[in-house]
Amino acid sequence: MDYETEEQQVEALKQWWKDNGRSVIVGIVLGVGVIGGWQAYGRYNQAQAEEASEQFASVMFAVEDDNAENNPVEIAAALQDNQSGSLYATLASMTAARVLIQEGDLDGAAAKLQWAVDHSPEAAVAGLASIRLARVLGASGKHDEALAILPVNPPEGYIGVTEEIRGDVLAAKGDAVAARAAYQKALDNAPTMTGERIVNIKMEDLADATSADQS
Amino acid sequence: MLLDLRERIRNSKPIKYTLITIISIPFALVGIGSYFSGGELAPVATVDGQPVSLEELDALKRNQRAQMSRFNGGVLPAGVTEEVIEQSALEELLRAQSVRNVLDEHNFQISDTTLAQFIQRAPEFQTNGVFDKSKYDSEVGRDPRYYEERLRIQLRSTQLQDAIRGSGFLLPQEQERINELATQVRLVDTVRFPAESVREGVEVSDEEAQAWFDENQASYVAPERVKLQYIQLSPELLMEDIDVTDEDAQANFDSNRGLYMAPEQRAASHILLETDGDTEAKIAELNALKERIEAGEDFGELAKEFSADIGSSENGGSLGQFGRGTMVGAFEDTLFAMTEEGALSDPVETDFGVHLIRLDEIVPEAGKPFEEVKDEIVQSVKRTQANLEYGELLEILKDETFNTPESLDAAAEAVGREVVTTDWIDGTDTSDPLLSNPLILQTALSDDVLIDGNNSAPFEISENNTIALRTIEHEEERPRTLDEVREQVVEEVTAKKVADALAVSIQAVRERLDAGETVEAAAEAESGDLILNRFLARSSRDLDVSAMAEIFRFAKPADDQPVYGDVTLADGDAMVVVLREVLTAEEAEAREQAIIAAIDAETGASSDSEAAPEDVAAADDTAATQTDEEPPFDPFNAGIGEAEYRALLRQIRNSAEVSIDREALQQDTSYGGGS
Repeated sequence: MDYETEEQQVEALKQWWKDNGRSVIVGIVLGVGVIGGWQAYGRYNQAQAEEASEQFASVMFAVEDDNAENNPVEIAAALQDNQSGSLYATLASMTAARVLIQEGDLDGAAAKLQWAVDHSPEAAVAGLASIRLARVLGASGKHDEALAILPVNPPEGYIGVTEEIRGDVLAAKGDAVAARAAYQKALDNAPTMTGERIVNIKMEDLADATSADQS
Repeated sequence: MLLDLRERIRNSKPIKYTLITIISIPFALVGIGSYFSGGELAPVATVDGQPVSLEELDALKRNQRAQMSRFNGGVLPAGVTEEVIEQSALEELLRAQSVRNVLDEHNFQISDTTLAQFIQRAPEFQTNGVFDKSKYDSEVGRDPRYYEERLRIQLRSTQLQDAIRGSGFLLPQEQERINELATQVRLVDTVRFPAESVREGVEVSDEEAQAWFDENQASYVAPERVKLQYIQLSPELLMEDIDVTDEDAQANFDSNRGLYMAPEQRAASHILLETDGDTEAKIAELNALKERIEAGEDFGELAKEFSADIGSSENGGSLGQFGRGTMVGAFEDTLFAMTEEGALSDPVETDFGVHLIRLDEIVPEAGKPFEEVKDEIVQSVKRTQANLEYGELLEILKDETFNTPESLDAAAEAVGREVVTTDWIDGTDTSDPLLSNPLILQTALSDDVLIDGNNSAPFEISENNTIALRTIEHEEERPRTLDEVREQVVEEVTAKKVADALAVSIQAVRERLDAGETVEAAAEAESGDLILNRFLARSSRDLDVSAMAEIFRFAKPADDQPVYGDVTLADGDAMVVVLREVLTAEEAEAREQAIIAAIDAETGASSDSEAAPEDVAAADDTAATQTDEEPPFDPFNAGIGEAEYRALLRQIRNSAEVSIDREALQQDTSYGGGS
């Protein structure tokens, strides 16, 4: 567009502002609002995460401290209630399970581990929690429940630990053949929980006439 | 079309707002700064979209290379190539990045409170169990913020690890099972057939040897081998050619006297009179004092009364012990010229005044005299000189081996060493520590040396021990002839025949057992050596390791039906093993007691069961060592958590989406300077 005079130019600008001024202002306000909102959201997230981290750290400190005033299970429970979706809450719950085992409360420990399995936002950690849960259930004599929890085809990184536990539960249940097969899988695939030597011993102890060559 | 678009935007308020909002978002997210940077190196890989940089990779590779060669005499172990290092370093970075991504994704943070809590609990900042601010300040240095930030990063990265490790447990039931298995005892009877008894009657004919050799020819192979010439250069070798005369040694001793000798020291006392300009009068005064002392008055008392040296007068004028170079010139000269302990000097004038000196004690020069340290000095002079020469000769050796690649003679002459010619080297002879170093054969077979016939570049086979070599003869891997390996073949055939003969006895015993005979009867009939009631723990050393392992793989006896099998021992003996019972450690102990009691009751027992007490004792021993080796499991063994954490790492790494940019890896050599 060409303007004849300066006046015309100013006039055109004024006209433009009249037409569009409001939209521009609203746009800027909206933009600033979004930026501010985003940053506030970020700050909120940060604060939430720091709080979860702090509470989790207190759980860990309480475990070490052995001080009756700071019960790690209670601190963990508060974190689980406040921020159930946080990975910190999952880890706190798993730590609480450990403390309960120390106190001989296998059912309580199982509940804590079940919570971790259900709430963990990280699949790898949930996988680990379910392996621990299966061990606790197996030790409580709930063999079938334990077997039901262990994945039939565990992800590659967990084959060793999973199959070792499956072998333990099957052996406790009295199924030597299946237990041997599970131990063998554990040995074939990946590092195990208690180490190759112990898994080997567990497996060999279940030998029968068909598995060991005694001719 | 653009005009059209503009029209539409102008006429539609929602579109206008949306556009402005959209444009502002990137600024809110990343800030303006990122629009002005750029031009960095391409990442070598991405893990779920996060880059792994070339700089990180290069740094880690350097680190790993240095670490691996440190444990291998300064060179990389054979088989560790650049590719191997790159692979392992890259994998480590990918794993670390995938874990970092997980921590980021789940918003792992270390708050100020946690950081403060951690610092307050750290033992290194505590005094008597309480946080000590001054200790913290002195440990952390001038910039606590830097330290705290680093600590924050470190804490964050160990948070997950600590959580998994710290929550790991071993259930009492699991522990019990492991303990029970580890301390299990197996009660067996054994019937042994010694190889020696059969061996004497075995003969191997030429035909048999030939047949065995033909059948197993593939296993009789002479490995690839070379004959070499080499020049060795090391300070140790150079030292042999260095002569150090007695004069040289003496000169070295003199210039380093302080290393071997503690210099003479003297103890003295003095009386100081300040002169105030009238030296003569003071000297006269001192002479008067000297006379009084010589007449029997006490030096110390007079020093206390007259000496102007406040520091010493209280101690009766004593200055203690000192060597040369401590006192002012005239004082020292006079004192060290005196010869008799207790003697008095004439008055001596110094800047302080005039002194009357008494020599209290001469502490003579002490230490090792030259004769005693001569050998040590000669060695040290030689070593110093050899190290210097080594550095120089090494450069010459490098140049000459390169300049005259078709022979070592020129290089040998230039550095004054001999060219040594070796016999065949194939890497199997370990008697010569120099030539059995794998680097020697590796270099001799390298393309440059073997195919092109060049001298190798000088290389260190151990610290300060350099070799340059050339290959003068080479022979590929080849089959051996029967004559070369006849001895070995005869031994192998003999062993086979012995094993066959023993197998017959073993089989016979097993058939008798199958038919229901007792082990005593079966052993007697086949003339095997019978031992009853052996208590074998997993780590027992009564039988060799592989036989023990075999016995612990036997199925357990069911319904009181013993299980039997056979094992071959390391010395070639064969043995039938009858497994009677599998016992826990406690059961085994009770059983042993019962057996001992039975033997006691039945004095004059049969020859078979006389063996029992020894075995019982042996089993006791092994049970004891067993418990030593297997400490009771801690129910909250962090080892379990650690194993689980490693599994978690693998799982996290495996589920991350990784893409490796091979081209970006290639920039490596040009960028990293081919290091």
